[in-house]
Amino acid sequence: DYEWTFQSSDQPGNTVFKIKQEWASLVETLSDGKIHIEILPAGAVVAHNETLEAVGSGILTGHITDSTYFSGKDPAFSLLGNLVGAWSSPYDLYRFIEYGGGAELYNELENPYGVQFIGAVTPGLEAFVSTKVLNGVDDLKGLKMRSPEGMIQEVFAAAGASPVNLPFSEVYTTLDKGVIDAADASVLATNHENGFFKVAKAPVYPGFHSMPTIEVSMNKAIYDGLSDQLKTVLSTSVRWLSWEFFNQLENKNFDVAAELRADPEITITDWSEAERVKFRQIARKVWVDYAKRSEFSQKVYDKITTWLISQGKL
Amino acid sequence: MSITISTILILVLLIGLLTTRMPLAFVTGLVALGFAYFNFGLPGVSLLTSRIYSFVTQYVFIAVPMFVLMAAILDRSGIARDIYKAMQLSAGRLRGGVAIQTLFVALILAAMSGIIGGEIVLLGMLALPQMLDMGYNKRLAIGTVLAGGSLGTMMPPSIVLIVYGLTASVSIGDLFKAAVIPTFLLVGCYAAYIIFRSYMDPTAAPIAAKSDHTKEERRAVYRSIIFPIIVAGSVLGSIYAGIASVTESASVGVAGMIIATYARGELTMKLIRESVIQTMSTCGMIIWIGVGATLLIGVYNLMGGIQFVKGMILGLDVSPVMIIMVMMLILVVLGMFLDWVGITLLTMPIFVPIIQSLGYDPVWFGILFCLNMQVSYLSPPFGPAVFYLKSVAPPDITLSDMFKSVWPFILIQVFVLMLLIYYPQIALWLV
Amino acid sequence: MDDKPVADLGKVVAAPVEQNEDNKSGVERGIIKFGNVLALLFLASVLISVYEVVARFVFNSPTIWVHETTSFFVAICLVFGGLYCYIENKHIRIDIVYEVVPTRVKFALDVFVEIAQLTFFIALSYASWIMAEKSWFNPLGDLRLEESGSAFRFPSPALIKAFIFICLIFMAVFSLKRLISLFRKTNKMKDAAL
Ligand code: NA
Ligand code: NA
Repeated sequence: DYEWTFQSSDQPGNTVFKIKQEWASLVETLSDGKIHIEILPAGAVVAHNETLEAVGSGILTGHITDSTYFSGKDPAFSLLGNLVGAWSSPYDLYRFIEYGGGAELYNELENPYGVQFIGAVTPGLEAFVSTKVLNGVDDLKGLKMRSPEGMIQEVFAAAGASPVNLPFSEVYTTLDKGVIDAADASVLATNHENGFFKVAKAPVYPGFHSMPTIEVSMNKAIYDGLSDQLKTVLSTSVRWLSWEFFNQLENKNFDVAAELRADPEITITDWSEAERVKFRQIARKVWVDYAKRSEFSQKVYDKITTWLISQGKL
Repeated sequence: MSITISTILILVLLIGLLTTRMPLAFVTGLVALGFAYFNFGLPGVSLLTSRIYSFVTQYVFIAVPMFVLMAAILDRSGIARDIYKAMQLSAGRLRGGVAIQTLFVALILAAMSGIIGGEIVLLGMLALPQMLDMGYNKRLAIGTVLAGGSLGTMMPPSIVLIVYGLTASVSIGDLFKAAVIPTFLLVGCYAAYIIFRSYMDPTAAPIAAKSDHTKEERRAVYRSIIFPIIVAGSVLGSIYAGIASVTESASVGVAGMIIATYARGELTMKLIRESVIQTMSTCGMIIWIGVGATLLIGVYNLMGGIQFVKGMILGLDVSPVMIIMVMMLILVVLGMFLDWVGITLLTMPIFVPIIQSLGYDPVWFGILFCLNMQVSYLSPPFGPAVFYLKSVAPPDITLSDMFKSVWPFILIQVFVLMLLIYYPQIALWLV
Repeated sequence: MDDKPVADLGKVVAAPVEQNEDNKSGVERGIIKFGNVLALLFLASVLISVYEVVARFVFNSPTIWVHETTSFFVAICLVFGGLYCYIENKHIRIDIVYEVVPTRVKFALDVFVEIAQLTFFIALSYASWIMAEKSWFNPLGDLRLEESGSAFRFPSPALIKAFIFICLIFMAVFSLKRLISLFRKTNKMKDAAL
């Protein structure tokens, strides 16, 4: 009965894109074939950072995308999408979204755009791509690196690195040619899929930096018109997606890590807890700065820090 | 309306509207508007402007104006003319010599620039009148200028390879290396054809008169070609040496060109002003054709175009190599109506995952794609190379003269394409 | 060897509908002049990009502003290029059929094309107005310029989106003007015939 189009922030062929397609077919099964969702690759209909308006106006039914892409519209998206150093594991993030008021915050932020938040998933902690062996925060000083837009860029700058904003697609070439020494890219498995370890042989794994929030949201008017049963199908299936997303990638990460460890040319470093804390403290200073940038940012900041304190994580 | 019927209707409308003399940029845009409005209502129209914004801010298109600016400065300096003179001095009294010389000048210009247009205009003004005056066969002369002048995006640096690399997530350095041998092969085949024609039909290509240049003249001319070598070196060098990202390298190339012009004593405010103004108007043309195409592609994707094309290709029960052939055929057909930007944006997100799942190398496929775009520059009814030449050719040479001249060269391009499909190592040997 | 200067690529590629250098309005001439100055942004982009390469490679201190500024300059010029080429009649068109049809058909085609273009520009002006509005005001209606979200906090999306709207509005206006002058021309022709 429903023919929907969701745009993803990945290219077809990637593992994460395939998992999103699996989710679409699960929705079809659970809804007795009432909902058919087509997952389109990044940029198919509108650019990756224009999907919020497209979903709001109903051009796209929904999107599965990194929330930080909308940081330019409100810095609050950056705090929700990738609060560097806040989450020790995906489960912390999931608990905050579901039970700590995260979903309500998302809806309060996105409803005015005509968008309904359904749920969030994360690929887990990213692995840092580097051509030089990095043992801690001090080694970041003067590091020429690629970083996507958003808070993460400022955190790296505050840590003494020199971040440049390059598209994901140019990471391989620029690493290969030495234009950059390192890159904040993706999780270990995805980095490996893109061949980054052929040219950058000193990854930091597990990483110490990003754990992005990928939101699943859709047009609010369409969502509001759904039966309770179909709404439940959506929320339940996104929970399934959050499980698959993280665990499928984590399984791959372990396989890739074993493969990389067996390679004599590759040095995997794992930062000590002390170094990780140091990086987190730098990040938290940037949080405060970000919180001041909009009314909603402050609200997100207060909510998350209160929750982290209540959990003994801050 | 089913996607099959819509697809056919889009093609029919494109051809129909093109004959009304509406600019290509607005033809594709208008078809996009129509389908957006009738399928998705007013929200569909807002998809169009969102795509305009994303298109003009796209990272890879920063390189386009830089290459255009480089060509514009090259046009206005005497560098190209001196390269042509130098080649004239060194070209012996070979039958078809001037055509061969034109081809080599085209290759040198192609190694400096990443787009086509500038080279065709230059050769159209330098080489074409000379060949016609000498009594060259009209079609041979025109074909040589068109095919040679289109080499800018085959020989590295090449904007087509850059855009392909960024779309398909393939190393641009690898693509550049892979393009070198196929380019030489293509030029070699053009040259062989010219020599063959000249000896089969001595009236087609008369022998040049003996040149009577002094030693000093020769030395001055040879000295002048040092600068272009510096420019080509600074672009390719900064890419290979890893000093700059690809788009920055194009800027380095412009700076190199400005320095070369200064060293030759040709740098004036007027030259710079005219060059940037030309860049504005040339980019307006190139980019708005891309804008029109990107609008149509966005709407088509939303209508289910990706699934349709993918299903059509994967539904074929044929061997992988036949799938490649089908893709090549689709590219040739699209190349008749769209420009390379639109074709890349439309087909590469669909084709590249398919060829990768079939186990083919995306670097090799990028070279096939690039060769295909060489065909698209020449093929009627929309052949950009032909339009560029028309602007400077003698008035008695009509568009249909030009389209008749390109056939042998299109056949050569297709022949080299087939060689590459069956012998991928031609491309992958240097990678 | 022929030593005449190489022709302006843009000017020569597309043959204009009519050589209407003279009937260009003051506004049109003003826009062309503005474009000639705006085009210097290309040169500025080259200079800052080279600066970036030197800063990063020689001094090991890349900037956070060059990439985004270059992208902004180039985007503005590319958008404007569409308007510029429209005024100067430089957009590429195919006239294989047009060249061989009789004058009356030529005129009918001219009118059809201009009406189609006018529709296109009006629809896009409307849509770009909405796009620009969304980038200048948040959904609650408060003024906030959309930024790119990078560490260099510059509202380039808001500025470019507004600029797209302005250029499209101008295209719509000039298209209407051309349509009117096309009809005036027929009336004159009819009067002459009577
Ligand atoms: Na080239
Ligand atoms: Na063509």
